Amino acid sequence: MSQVNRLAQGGRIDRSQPLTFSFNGQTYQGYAGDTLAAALLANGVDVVGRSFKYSRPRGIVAAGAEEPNAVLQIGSTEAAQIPNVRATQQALYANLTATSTNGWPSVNTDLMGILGKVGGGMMPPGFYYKTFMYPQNLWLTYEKYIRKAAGLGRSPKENDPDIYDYMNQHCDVLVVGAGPAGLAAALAAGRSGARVILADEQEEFGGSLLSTREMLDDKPAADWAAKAIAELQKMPEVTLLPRATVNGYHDHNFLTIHQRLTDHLGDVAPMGQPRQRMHRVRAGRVVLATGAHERPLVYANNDVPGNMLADAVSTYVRRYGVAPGQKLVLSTNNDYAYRVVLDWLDAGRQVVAVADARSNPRGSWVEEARRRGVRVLTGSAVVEARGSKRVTGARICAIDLVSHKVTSPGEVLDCDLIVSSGGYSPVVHLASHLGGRPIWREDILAFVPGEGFQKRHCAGAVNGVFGLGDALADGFEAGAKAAAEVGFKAVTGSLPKAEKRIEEASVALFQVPHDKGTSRAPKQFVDQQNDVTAAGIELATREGFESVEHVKRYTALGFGTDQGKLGNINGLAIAAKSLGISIAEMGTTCSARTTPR
Amino acid sequence: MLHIFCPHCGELRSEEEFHVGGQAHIARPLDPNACTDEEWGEYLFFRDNPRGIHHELWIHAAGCRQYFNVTRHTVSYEILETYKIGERPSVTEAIVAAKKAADQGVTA
Repeated sequence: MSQVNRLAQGGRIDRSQPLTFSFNGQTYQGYAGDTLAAALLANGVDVVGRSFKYSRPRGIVAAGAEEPNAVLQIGSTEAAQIPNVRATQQALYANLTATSTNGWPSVNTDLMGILGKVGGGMMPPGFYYKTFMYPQNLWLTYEKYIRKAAGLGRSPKENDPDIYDYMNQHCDVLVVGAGPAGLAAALAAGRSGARVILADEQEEFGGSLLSTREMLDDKPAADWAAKAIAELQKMPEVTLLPRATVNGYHDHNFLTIHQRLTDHLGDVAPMGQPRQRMHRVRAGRVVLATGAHERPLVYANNDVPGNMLADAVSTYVRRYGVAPGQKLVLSTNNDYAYRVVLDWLDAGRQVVAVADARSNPRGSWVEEARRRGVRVLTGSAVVEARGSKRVTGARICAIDLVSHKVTSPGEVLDCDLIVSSGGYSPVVHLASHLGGRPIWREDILAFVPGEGFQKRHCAGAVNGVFGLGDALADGFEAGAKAAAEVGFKAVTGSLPKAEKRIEEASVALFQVPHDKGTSRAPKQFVDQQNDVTAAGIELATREGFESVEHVKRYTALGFGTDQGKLGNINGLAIAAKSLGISIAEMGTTCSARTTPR
Repeated sequence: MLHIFCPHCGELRSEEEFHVGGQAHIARPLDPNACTDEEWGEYLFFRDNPRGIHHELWIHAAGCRQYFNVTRHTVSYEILETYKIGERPSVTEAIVAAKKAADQGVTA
């Protein structure tokens, strides 16, 4: 099989090392440095699974921990089976064997899908409980069949051949996340002589620096990341933990880190090596630089494969050399999303149009896109995606944000990839573990960490500092402050210069209006993993579930393994709107675990 | 997991090494036989459950195996001091309240 979507050059992959892997029995090829998701996209695999409730075909949406759909079963032997691995977080290794976790007889032709299509409108939240209520003693019989239709992966039937260990550690400063803010914080703390642990979830340190088109000191940002990592490696008191998820923030700055030592090497760990390790860390100070996840927009049929996050597409193009389509349409409400347009043009692909919800965007990236001949439709948004197993078109209409109405019949544009960006949601989970409720900030349309009892600092995008240069400075300051608080003499240092740009504020847009009204329009998915639609959330509020906790439980919003990383804020916004209150009044809930695995 | 300073060992150790022994500073009636049922019941069963500063008895079970007292904030779980049996706490609700009032008096 050829890699139809692989770009001729670019990316941080090693093209001299092709790797063969299989997905649902088909053999494909990727390169060392790919994630499983990148390799699947490179091979033009659109459908990776079927949705939970309606069995709709689903494709890869994101590029990181927030992925809701590409949740796969991995393992070539019975003992090596691992259920529910996010393809976006699994490094590709030779002979990796992956299968979809649902879909019968296969993901491409699924019989349940017909039921979902026909009966979709008749399956509101609580459908099973409302329908199979009587006679009560038959519920156990019903449940058996309902359970069969749902469910994700399966656990292995044989014993795990691998060993797992744990380690107790102490440090002065623990830095969570090795993106721009995290690296800067680690540098500041490390240079002061403090004992530092830097933990990052991804295969490589650098976070967004590895895929951004922005320059630092007129060189690619990834160069600065490499320099910073090299400096950190030379410091004797600094421990670097890649592939390590900080999954718990406990009392008195006790944190647990789950490190995947050999998951990227194969099904079974090499002889004598542990597969995973739990670090139990007591930290003097903690710097949380956990970054932010991009938030998709909620429009009709936004779950058809070929609907992706803007940021994710940039990552696939620039980090993995994969362009998951040919003709792109962007729907956005902010400046940052325009990066994907420029990246897509650089990759030699076609940008059909940009629908910007703002009436007069004039930011630097917007102007650059216009200069390069991109058609920018202002005051509009993608209202509906066309296609069933792959996007075939996008309907763009003018919308009125205040009355939440579609104001023009719009036009249908031919495309095979719709990317959307509704702004960024800071990853506030760890900051909320010990109290410290997130605070809604209307100026950036996001929840940021509230005051906590812990001795911690938040830095970078998690704080709502989204600009690259500002995030670096914020991180450096937090790192220096943390080191100073535990008794090390803070050092000063110069940071690389980021580009100067004009940036414009985004406008609040979560659910895109549809001319038919939410309950009559094609499904607008909020939480793709649990098939929660905007109509479902409105129904919940109509039926009297007013607290965010109740709405969540009634609709199952944010209950999947992705813990609502993409959907929760959109769901909150929709519930708040239909109740006529503000998002701040609605409040949020927080998952205990950042990345369940 | 709490990080507790043992006043006997003079070290900060992890909660795993300790056991909690309930509320501190409960005086046993000198003559139990002279107590009414109510007084005896009060002594045996009734404990404070404050939202705020609380004095507790802890034992360093996997260390020096000695009892000591801990002043802990029950909301933030912050440990404000640890001191040996027989000593009196230097941080109490009353002292903190007085200090707060004094601070406000100064700033007002």
